[in-house]
Amino acid sequence: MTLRAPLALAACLLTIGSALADEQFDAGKKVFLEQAQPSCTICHTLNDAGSAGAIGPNLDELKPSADQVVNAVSGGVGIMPAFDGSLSEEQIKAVAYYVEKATSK
Amino acid sequence: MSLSDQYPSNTDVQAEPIQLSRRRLLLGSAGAMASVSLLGFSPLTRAEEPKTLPDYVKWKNANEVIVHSANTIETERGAIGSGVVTPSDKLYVRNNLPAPNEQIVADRDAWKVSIKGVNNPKTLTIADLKDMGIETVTTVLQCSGNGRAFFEHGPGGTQWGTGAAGCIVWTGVRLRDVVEKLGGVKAGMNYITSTGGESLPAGLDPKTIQVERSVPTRALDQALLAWEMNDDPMPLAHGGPLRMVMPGYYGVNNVKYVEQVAFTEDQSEAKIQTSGYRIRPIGDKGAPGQPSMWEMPVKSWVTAPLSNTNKGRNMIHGVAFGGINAVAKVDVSIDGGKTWKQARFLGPDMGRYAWRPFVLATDLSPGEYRIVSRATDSEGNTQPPNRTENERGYGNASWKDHGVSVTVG
Repeated sequence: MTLRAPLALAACLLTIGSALADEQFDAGKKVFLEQAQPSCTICHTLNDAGSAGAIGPNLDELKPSADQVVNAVSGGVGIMPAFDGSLSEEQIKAVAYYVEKATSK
Repeated sequence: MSLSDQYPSNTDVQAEPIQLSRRRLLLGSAGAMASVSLLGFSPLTRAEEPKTLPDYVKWKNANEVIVHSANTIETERGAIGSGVVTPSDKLYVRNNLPAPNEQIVADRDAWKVSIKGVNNPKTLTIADLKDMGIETVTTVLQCSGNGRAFFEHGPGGTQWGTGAAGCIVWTGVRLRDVVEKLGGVKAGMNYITSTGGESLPAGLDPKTIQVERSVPTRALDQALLAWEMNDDPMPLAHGGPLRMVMPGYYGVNNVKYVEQVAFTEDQSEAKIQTSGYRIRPIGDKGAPGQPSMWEMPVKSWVTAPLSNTNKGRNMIHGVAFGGINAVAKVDVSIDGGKTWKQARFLGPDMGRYAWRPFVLATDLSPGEYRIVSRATDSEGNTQPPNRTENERGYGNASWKDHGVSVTVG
């Protein structure tokens, strides 16, 4: 009993944790597909998003880390525009989480 | 170049370990990955599979380049050696947009370029240009981000070491000769604005990603519309059939597949001009008021030895250039910059905008050495010890950053 309660609590927290993570994945996918303007799909290939853009790097091949995505999306890279004026910090974090997860499968 | 380039920094290390780590990453074996983590820095990307040359650059020498991504390919530091001119198959590639289809080089002489902002604007074919004049110029072509790998704040973008540069012979017609035949530049024009002919995806405002660069009209003194590179027809990967060459200016201003050259009152409104390729404080956004990546400053680096060498007589090799000015001299130090000796330039002088290979013969006893080089241009400007910190990691000319740590045994 004394042992079970913390275990149950831990299990519960784990569930909440993964549910939150999935929410972040879905939110990021939405940013990738719809909220970023121009849409990430125009320029980038990403299987999970069903996109085949050939302007920027193929994300399935590049497999960037979340930090790298935050960096590129916030500040722009080369001709890639900066999105920090049009996307919120949360949206940028979400899309970074999404791209890292979607390319590590 | 690609939009890609979102590598993290791993730069409290010196040039050679970075290059080694990249090379090993490209090989992608488990052992290589282990050795990278033992050395204490993280992989540039999480991708572990070997990278091969993309189709449009299949003809490059795979052993002498580092493939960062499909549109960013770097020359190995040691591959430059004491080369006066960089062979095309070793030259770096940085395409801002994917290269157009091969079809655009099927009938080279038919390629059209519109000249605007002159008194008699006209669209000309390469065949027309060939009737207007011919000139050959040798220039250092260098990406604005060359040396980005040495910045410690982790700027996004390709982590170029020294290999986003080469010395290239271009043949074409002086833009000045073309302009003269079209009645001269219209009054009040401050910039030369060149537009690349890459096709852009639908649903996007062209200004978002179009490669269109403006440079001050003073560059008309040396600008060249080039159809040959190193005596061959301009390769597609390097801007063929026609490329704007701006001697002394950073690579991005040498617009590939150039389809329009306009003399304009103002700079281009394309993002690559207004907010991209600007020197800005770390953390700041790109804006038109910041310095644009135009004229290059004096710079040099050692190309051999890079990590280990035998005791006794050694030849220290490298390359030096003055950017917008001619290079006047280069000094080499084997003790990290405490004492210097002037090196000797090798081979023919290919002109103000070319680089000069250099060599310094020296006797080395066993031990650890920090070998650095420091160039001075014809105006007396000397390569600085430290880089200018900036958000995007552009314009690194620091002689300290570009040194090598060598073990002599």
